[in-house]
Amino acid sequence: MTLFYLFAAIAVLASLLVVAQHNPVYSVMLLIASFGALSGLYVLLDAPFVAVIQIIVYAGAIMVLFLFVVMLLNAPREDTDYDIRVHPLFRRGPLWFGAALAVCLAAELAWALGATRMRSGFPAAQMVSVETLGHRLFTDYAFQFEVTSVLILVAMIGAVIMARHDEPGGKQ
Amino acid sequence: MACVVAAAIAAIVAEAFRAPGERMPIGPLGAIGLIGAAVASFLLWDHHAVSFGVVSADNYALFVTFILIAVGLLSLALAGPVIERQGLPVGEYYALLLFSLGGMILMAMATDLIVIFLALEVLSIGVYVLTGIRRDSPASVEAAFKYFLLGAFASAFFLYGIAFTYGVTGSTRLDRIGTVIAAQAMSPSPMQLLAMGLLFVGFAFKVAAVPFHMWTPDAYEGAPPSVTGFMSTGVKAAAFAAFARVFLSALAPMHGEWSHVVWVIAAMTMILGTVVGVAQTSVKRMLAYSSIAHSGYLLVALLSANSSGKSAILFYLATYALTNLGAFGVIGLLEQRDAANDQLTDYAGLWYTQPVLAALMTVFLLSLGGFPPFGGFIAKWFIFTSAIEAGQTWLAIIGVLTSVVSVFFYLRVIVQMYMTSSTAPLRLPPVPLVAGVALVASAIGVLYLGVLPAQVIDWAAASIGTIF
Repeated sequence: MTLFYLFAAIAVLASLLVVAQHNPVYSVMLLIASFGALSGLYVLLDAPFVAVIQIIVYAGAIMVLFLFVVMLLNAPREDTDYDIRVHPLFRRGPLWFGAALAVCLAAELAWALGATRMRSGFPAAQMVSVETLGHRLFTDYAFQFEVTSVLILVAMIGAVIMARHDEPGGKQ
Repeated sequence: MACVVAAAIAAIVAEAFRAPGERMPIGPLGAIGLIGAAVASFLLWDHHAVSFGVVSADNYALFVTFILIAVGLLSLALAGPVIERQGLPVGEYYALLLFSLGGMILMAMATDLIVIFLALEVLSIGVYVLTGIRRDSPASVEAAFKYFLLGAFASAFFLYGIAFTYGVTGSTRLDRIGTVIAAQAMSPSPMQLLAMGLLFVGFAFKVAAVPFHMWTPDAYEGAPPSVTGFMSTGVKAAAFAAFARVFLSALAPMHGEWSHVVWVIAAMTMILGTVVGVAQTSVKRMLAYSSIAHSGYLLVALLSANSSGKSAILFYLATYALTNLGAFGVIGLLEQRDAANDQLTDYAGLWYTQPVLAALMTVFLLSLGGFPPFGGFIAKWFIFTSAIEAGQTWLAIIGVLTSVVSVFFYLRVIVQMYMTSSTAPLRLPPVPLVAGVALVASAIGVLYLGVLPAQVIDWAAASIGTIF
């Protein structure tokens, strides 16, 4: 339980700080911290695979993409007059949107707490180890796995075609 | 199964050949692969081969495969002149075309929602890139971008649908989903309705049914005409094959729930497709709206879902594939490097300069409009009869009325070709032999389906009778 509160506190704090930064690069870094804490929560929920995927895909790949975009746009600071005067947390947009989200969250929480007695529509989740998952992937879902490789090949060829530089008068 | 492998291998071999020299005869190679696939599926007929439990080469899938192979062969043949004129990358073009054809065939055979999704993505990504393959043309890139963004949304809807279906039934295999749903058909849970709705949105996007049709005119206009022909027929055939398989087998117990939605969408699709089609001045856009209207007719067949309605879907897909490919083939031949020549006025007096092309275009347009000696007439007649048999009289009336209206815009092109004289006649290069043969072949096919449809209808009925 202590671990849960620790991870949850880190996640909430990091997420708040993401919004509160003036510098987008810091925001991205803090978002990574928040994702790390989330994956800790997944470990506590006995879902090690999801935790690892969370780290690799979100904290790793997607956040690196974010960083690239931030750096490519070359906007390390937001510095118009308004930006400096008003702290990000107290701007009009975030305030209203945040308030709306908070209302939604409160309503959902109330509904969920009221409905805990109801039987969930989903089949009961079983604990899934990485090993069983891999086993299933290469036996029951072997065909789907292979089709995915074709899909990625097509996507790769497509990306190369769309992004390639044509030399003028080049090969035909 | 074997044909999927064959088609995929053909595509991969084409890929490999691309690397050393760019002048390899990749088109014929792809054609050989497709003929191999056709032979393989002919041998598989009546065998009901199932592999991995998720891919089933039953007669239904094989019939659609035959349509798709015909689409593939004609697209390969018609692509040559367009590729040459626009200076498109040859190897990549054929490879992507074959890859997405492989995805289409897989989609027709899949009996598992995940495989359907993967096949859908394989075919879509191939088609997105083909749409934007003319990268120096802003219209082409814009079309590809719109198509890609909206398509990605639709895929996400479809994926959500799969996830919810899995949540409700605990499986992604269509047969198991069918049993679970049949067991609780009396009172479907909201989750189940939501899942069905999301799956429907995914399919409706791919077949360009009305609230999800926005991408169609732009994508069809911006893409090279050979690609447009391919995607308007192949994607539609594959999507409708999977659509029918999911909604008529797994979700059949919920017919009462989805039939209302399909009714409204079919009616809207037919009406909007024809009414907006009347206002078009570009022949490509006109054909785009006509293809939306044709989706509406196919939805009518899907909705009536009685024995004749089911085979009407397959027959209609076959006729529509041949006809539309032919029409876009002619457009592709009329296009020139610096001018699209797709305005209505560009067709003025075509009969006097290019009598053969004009005659072929007439055949295709009349068949699309549903005139008696051609395949389109039988297909439409078949669909409306089955709708009336199923008690969908109003839908049949809307269908007949809209197809009468649609005749107006098909005839308008024909009138332009024969009865006006051109101020600036088109100077066209001679038609390449392969493309000419392909056009004549599809015109003969359209005539054959119109004059002697019994054989093909029997095949369609036999093939669909095996699974539903």
